[in-house]
Amino acid sequence: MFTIMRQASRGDDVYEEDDSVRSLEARVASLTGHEAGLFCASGTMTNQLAFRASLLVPPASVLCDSRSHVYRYEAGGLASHSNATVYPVQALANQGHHLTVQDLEREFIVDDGDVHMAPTRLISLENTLDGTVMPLHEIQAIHRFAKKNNVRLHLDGARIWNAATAIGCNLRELTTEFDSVSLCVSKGIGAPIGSVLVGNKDLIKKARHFRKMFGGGWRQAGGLAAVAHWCIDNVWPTMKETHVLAKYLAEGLEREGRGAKVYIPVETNMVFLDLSGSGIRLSELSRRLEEEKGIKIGNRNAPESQTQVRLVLHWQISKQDVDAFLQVVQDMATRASPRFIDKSAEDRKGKFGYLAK
Amino acid sequence: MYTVSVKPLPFLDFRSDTATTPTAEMYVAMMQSSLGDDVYNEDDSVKKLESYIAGITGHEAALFCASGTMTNQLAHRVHLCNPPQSLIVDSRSHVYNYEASGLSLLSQAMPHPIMPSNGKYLTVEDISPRIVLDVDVHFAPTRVVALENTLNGTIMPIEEIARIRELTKAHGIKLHLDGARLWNASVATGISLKEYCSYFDTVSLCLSKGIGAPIGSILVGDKDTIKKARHFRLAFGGGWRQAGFLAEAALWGIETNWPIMWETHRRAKVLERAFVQVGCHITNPVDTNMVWVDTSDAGFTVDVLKEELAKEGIKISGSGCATRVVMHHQISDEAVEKFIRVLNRVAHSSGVVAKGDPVEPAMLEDSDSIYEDIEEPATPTVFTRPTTPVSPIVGERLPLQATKNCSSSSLDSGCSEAVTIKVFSSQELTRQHSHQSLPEMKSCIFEQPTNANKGDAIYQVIITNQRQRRTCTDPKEIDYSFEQDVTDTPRLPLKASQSLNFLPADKNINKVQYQMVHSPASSALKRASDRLARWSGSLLTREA
Repeated sequence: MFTIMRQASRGDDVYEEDDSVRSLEARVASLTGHEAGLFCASGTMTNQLAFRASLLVPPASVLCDSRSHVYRYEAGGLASHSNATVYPVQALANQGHHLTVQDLEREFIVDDGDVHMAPTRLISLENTLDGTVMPLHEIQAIHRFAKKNNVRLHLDGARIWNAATAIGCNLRELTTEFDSVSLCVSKGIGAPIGSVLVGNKDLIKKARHFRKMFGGGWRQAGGLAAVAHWCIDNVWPTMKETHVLAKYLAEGLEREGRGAKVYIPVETNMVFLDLSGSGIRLSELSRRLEEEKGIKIGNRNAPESQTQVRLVLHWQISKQDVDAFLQVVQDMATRASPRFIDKSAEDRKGKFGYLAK
Repeated sequence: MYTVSVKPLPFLDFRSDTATTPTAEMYVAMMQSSLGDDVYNEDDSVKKLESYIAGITGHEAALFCASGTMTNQLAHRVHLCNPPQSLIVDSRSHVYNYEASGLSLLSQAMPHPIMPSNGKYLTVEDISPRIVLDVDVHFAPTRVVALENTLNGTIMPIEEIARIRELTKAHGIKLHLDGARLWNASVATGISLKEYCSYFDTVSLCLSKGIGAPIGSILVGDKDTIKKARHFRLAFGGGWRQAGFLAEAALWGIETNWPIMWETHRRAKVLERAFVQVGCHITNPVDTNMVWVDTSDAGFTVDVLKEELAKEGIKISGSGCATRVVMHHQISDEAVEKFIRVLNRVAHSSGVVAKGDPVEPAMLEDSDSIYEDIEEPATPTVFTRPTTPVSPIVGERLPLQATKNCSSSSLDSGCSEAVTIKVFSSQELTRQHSHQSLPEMKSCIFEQPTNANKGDAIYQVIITNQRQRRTCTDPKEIDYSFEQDVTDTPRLPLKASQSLNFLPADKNINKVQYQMVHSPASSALKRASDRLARWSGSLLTREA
């Protein structure tokens, strides 16, 4: 990747003079069926810029899923940058798998002139959310709902590449109905830095202005854009294998874990594991994985009560790594079982052998 | 397959020093970086850069961000945490004018812009009456004073910074420095970064300008401030992931490009001389790497110059009669010579009408020689009192009340009514006052006080480097002559190959000694001793 960076163009992106950046923005815009694009430093920036450029006239409110990134993990940016309030919607229909039109209707604030209210101006969806894919028919239904009520629709498509691979459709079908889409190239796509916002020309122009203000007006970003190009060409096709590997890991965990459950269906590259039935302690598992196999899952200092963990796979994880993971889980699960007899400790047993553990 | 082309490197881009690009050697350094995630603060290269910068600036911690706008906005966002609030800022500064109203939107603070009364840098006398205290519900109290060094290429003296620091400390106000080009100021004055930064709560330094990294800027401050700034950095969208290679590029740039910055300043001086010889005015002192040019009296517009330069591949900015030319380390001497050739061609082309006096042949000579022969023109012109002050070319403008080079005995305060004429060393002044044969002059400036009484004007000539003042009432009898002091400094150190033919033959000058005195090392020593003398002098005159 460094070789590609070295050969990239070196223009100044604040003056919009860099070829690599412009070609990346055009490419992603055409892939998603939009007019223009904006290459930024992070997904938080593209999301916040989309909101900031769309919500120009307060008071306004935004609807989004209560588990979504823009609501929970962007440090309150929606409120502090765009002066909008957020109504987090619980996805109750469909057993909480994804947001539906009924959920949105429940929380929607109509603009009927009531001075108490902040009318809903924007709906923000996320695909994939927690590794689960929002199906195409639901997107289309929400799009019709938004159009009828004259509100904008934004997609936090940080992992939309995974969704398209999982469904097996074109990226365009999943993104063209939105007013603005934020796609991340630094996650599954594998570039070191970056995220692209796409939308129509006016929105992107406004977003570019705000990008400078937020401090995202970087200069010679050509290298980063060139790497993103390469990654879209070479890493995106490998996502299918990553998904297969994730399913393999999930099945292995349920098989070896002896009571460990994967509590959210594995549709893309995320495996949500609940260790509560297995007797394995999360902090212990994390420590052993890191020390023995060099695998990091975080949560080394997890308290006793925490049993849920998110495992995310990507193109740089191989089957051998997954097998190593499963090996450690198997070993820990057998040890944790009450019927487990520690044969290595048998020699240490004395007269009261049955007491030794 | 999308192909990317390698455009030519910015050797001919004079628009800004942000045009500096990474080179092959820099890429080699970038490849050695670590690949950790900076949002989780896990990247070794970024941590190395941050601790290095914190160390050389004498602060506790640092934060590596995507741009100077971001570091400025983050600093203000952390300091401005208690609305209603306001801040004091120079009206020409970047944070007020070129950051898309970030201060208002992101920090909800009202900026109070002040135009410095000396036209160069903010002083305590400018700021102190404008500080708003928290006494009345109508007011938004001042929480931050934001300074910039260098601003438009000019350096703010450290003595003034120290005084402003005392003032803000007394009121409990934070002091922030936009030191995007502080590297240039440090090289030009010889004052270390640590000394400059010791006066501020937070400093923002840019790595993508003179230092030459492709992207990046760094904020320094104490641990709690940087921790909060890191939080806001994520909220602003600056939480980037594998930024290690950008940090390595910055470190390489500091090691390699910072020590050679004085060359950039030298080239800026060469360009300044070229503009002056062609008849342009320089509207800001050329202290570092920026040359601000006004071509209104030179007979050509910047648009024409831009077109001609574009034919050679050189890019400049500006329009009408004003332009700013910025030098950086990737502009070579050959590029500067090319620029000057085109400039001379534009200025002397047939389609151009000079507004001022006709150009003298002496001005067309090679710009290398420091001393020019001043010839008396054929027709004497009538002396007219200058209506606007002529811009200084080299050296400071000394306000009448506080001239540092003149002892207090030679200037009375009662001469504020007089028309002061300080004669200055420049070709255009000799053109304007060519009815008198002016010998080679040094260190004098034209200045007109605001309340000059036309009826009974007293003309006084102040020769600043010799601390003399002469007064007379008749403009025709003004005596401009004074002793030429040859061994006083030429502003630039001599080049090795430079011949000493410009020294007057009638005076007995030891050429070897002259070269020793004016070598680059001794010029640096002289600058340092000047600075020491000025500083100790200001210590003595400082109020208790």
